[in-house]
Amino acid sequence: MAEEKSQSEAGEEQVRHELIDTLTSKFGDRLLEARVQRERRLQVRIRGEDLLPVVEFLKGSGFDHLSCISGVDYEDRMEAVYHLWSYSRGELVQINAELPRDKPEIDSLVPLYRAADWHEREAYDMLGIVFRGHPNLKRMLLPEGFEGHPLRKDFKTKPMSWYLEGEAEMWETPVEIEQDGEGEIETMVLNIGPQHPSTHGVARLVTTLSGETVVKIEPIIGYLHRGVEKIAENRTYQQFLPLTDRTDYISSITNNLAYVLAVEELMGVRVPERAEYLRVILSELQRIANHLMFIAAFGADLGAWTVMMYGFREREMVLDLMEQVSGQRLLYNFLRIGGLKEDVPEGWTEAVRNFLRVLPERLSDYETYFFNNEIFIKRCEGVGVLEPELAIELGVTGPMLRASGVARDVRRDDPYSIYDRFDFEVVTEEAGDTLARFKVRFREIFESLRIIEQALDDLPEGEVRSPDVPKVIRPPKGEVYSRIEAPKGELAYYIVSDGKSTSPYRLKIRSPAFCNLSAFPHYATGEIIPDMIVNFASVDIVMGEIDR
Amino acid sequence: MEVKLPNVILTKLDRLVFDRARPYTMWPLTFGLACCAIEMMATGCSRYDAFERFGMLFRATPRQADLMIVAGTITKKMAPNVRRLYEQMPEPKYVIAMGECAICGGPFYDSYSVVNGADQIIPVDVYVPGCPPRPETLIDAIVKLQKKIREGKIKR
Repeated sequence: MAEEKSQSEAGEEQVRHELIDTLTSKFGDRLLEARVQRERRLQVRIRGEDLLPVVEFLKGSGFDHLSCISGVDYEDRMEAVYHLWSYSRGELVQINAELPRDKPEIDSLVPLYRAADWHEREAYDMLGIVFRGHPNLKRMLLPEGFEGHPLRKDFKTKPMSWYLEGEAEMWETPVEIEQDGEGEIETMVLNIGPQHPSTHGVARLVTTLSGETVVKIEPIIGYLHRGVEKIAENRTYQQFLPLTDRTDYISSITNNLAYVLAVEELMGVRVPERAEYLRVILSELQRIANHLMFIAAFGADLGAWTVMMYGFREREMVLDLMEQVSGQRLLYNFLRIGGLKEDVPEGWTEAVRNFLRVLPERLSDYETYFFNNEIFIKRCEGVGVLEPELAIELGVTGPMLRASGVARDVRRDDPYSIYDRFDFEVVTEEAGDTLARFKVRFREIFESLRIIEQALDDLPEGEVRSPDVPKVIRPPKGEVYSRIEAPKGELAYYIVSDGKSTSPYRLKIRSPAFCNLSAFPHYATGEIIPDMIVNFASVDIVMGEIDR
Repeated sequence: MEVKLPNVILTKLDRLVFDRARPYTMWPLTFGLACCAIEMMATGCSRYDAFERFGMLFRATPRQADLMIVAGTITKKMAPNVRRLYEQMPEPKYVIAMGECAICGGPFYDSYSVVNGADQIIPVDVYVPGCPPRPETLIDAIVKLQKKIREGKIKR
C-alpha cells in the first residue's frame, strides 16, 4: 500500500508539471496564471472569453467530472469559478474566469458537461452571471420575478409582502392534447409538492403525465433556501460552524468536517492525531446514521412503515453515542477549527465497541426484510436505471454513482484527514437501479463499521485541539476547495479569504444531493408514476443541503 | 334570578363534549420543513412513540388535519404555501411552532430569504424552543396544547 502510494505520488508530480507546461505552451499569454496550489490541486486563471478552449482541452486530457461551478463578486470584477476533477489523474483543477462586473457573461459549459446545467442556473440566480447558450437559464433557488442577486456585495433584500402577493402562480394543472402521428396524446401536469409526504421536505416536482407514464419532470427547489452562503459572509469563521450542521441536517458531523478541513487548510493548521481519529470515528458513525435514516425513509415511501420504525430504532443507538460526546441529538456542532470541542467522555469507546457488536445482528434482520421480500424486490428491481456514463456526465457522486458500477469514493481517490490509513472496500453494484442504490447504502454501513473498528484499535492518547489556532481566526489571503465523501456523495466547501477579514469573503457549498437530484429527471422519465416516488426516494435528498 | 338545583352543571354542549374530546384526537398534518421535521419523525417513531399514544394520527392532506406542527425554517418562498396549507385546514385548528426558526427565524434570523417566525404569517398556539427541540420538548408542547384546548383558552 505504502509503495503504491509513493509511486502514485511520484507519478502525479510528473503529470502535474506536465499539465501546467502543456497548458502554458498551448495557451501562452491567454493564461493569466497557472500554478499548483498543493498536492492534487491546480489553479488556472483566465479571461472569461477563453473558457471554452481551456475547458475543452482539459476535458480531453481526462477531467471528466465537473465538480462545481460558482462565482465570486470582487466588486471591481466578477469571477466564475469552475472545479474539474479528473478521476484518471486524481487531480482537481480550479479555473477562475475573470469577467467584467457590469456585464458578466460567459459561455455555457452545458455542451461539454451536462452537470453544468443546474450549477450555472444557480450561479445565475445567486450572482447574475449570464451563461451564453444555456438551454434553460432561469431562477433556481429564488422565485421567478425576483430582482437582484443575493451573493453580490451590493444586494438589497425584498420585503415580505412581495412574496405573499405572488402567491397563486403555480397551482394550475393544465390538460393538453397533442397530435401525434399515431393519434391524440393527452398530457396532464401534476404538481407534487412542495407539501407532499414523500418529497422529504419541501421539494416540488412538476410532473407531466401521459396516462400513468411520466413524460417530463421538472424539479423546482429553493423552498428551503435559507441563504446560508450569504450569512457566512456576516459571521466569523467560528460562528459559521453551527450553520454547517443545519445544511445537511441528517449528517451534520460530515458537514462540520468539510468546513473545518477547508478553514484548516487555509490557515495551515495541523490537527492532533487523536482528534483526527475521533473525527473519522464520528464521521463514520454519522454515515451509519444517515444510511439508517435513508433505509427508514425509503421503507416509508414504499409503504413499509415497519421499516421506518426499525430504521429509527437503530438510528437512536447512534444518536445516543453522539449525544454522549456532544450533548445534542441531531445537530452536534462538535468539531472545531483545529480539532474537536473536547475529548470524548470516559467509557465512550467501549460504548462504540458495543454498538459495533450489536448493529450487525440487527442488520441481518434487515436482510430478511428486504432481500427476501418479494414486494420490495419487485418494486425496486430494474426501476430507474442510471447508466454509468450518464451518471458521470451529470456529476452524480457517492452511493448513487457507485450503484451504477463506478467505484469512486473521495475517501480513497482524494484522501482527506487520515482516511488513507484505513482498509475498506469501495462498495459498488452493477445494476444502477433503485435496488442497487439501496444495496450500496446498506453494504456501506458494514464498511463504516470496519473503519470505526480499525480507528478504535489505533486510537492514540493525547490532545484533541490544536494549540496553534488563535482566538480570532483571520486566515491568510487565498482560496481553498476541500472535498470530502459525505454520506450522500462529494461534499465540498469553497472558501475565499481576503486576508483581512475574520469572516469568509465568499463561501460556497457544493452539495452532493443537489447534483444527484439533477440526475433524477433523467432516469425517472418514461416510467410510471408510482415508481417515481421510489426513484425520488433513492436519491437520498435533504432539502436543507440542496437549497442551502 | 337564581335557580338552585341540586347536582346540575350548566354548560354549553360545545364545552362539554367537543372541548373534552378534541385534545385527544388531534390530527397533525404530515408537514416537515427542515431539521426539526427529523426530530418530529423521531418523536413519532420507535423509542418515543409519542403521537399515537396521544391519539394523534398524521394526515397527509390539510383537509383532514387540525394541527399544524411548523417544524423548521419558513422561507419566504415557502411562506405563501404554509399560509395556504393553514387556510385549507378546517376549523378548529391549532399550530405548534417547533424550533427556533419557527419561533423567530433562529440562526438564520438575518437572512434575506427567511421569515422571522411562523407567527408572521399564521397564528401560533404553542412555541417549542430548541434547535432542534428534543422529542421530550415536543411531547411537552403537545401536552400544553391539550391543556389549552381542554380549558377552552383557545378562542378563534
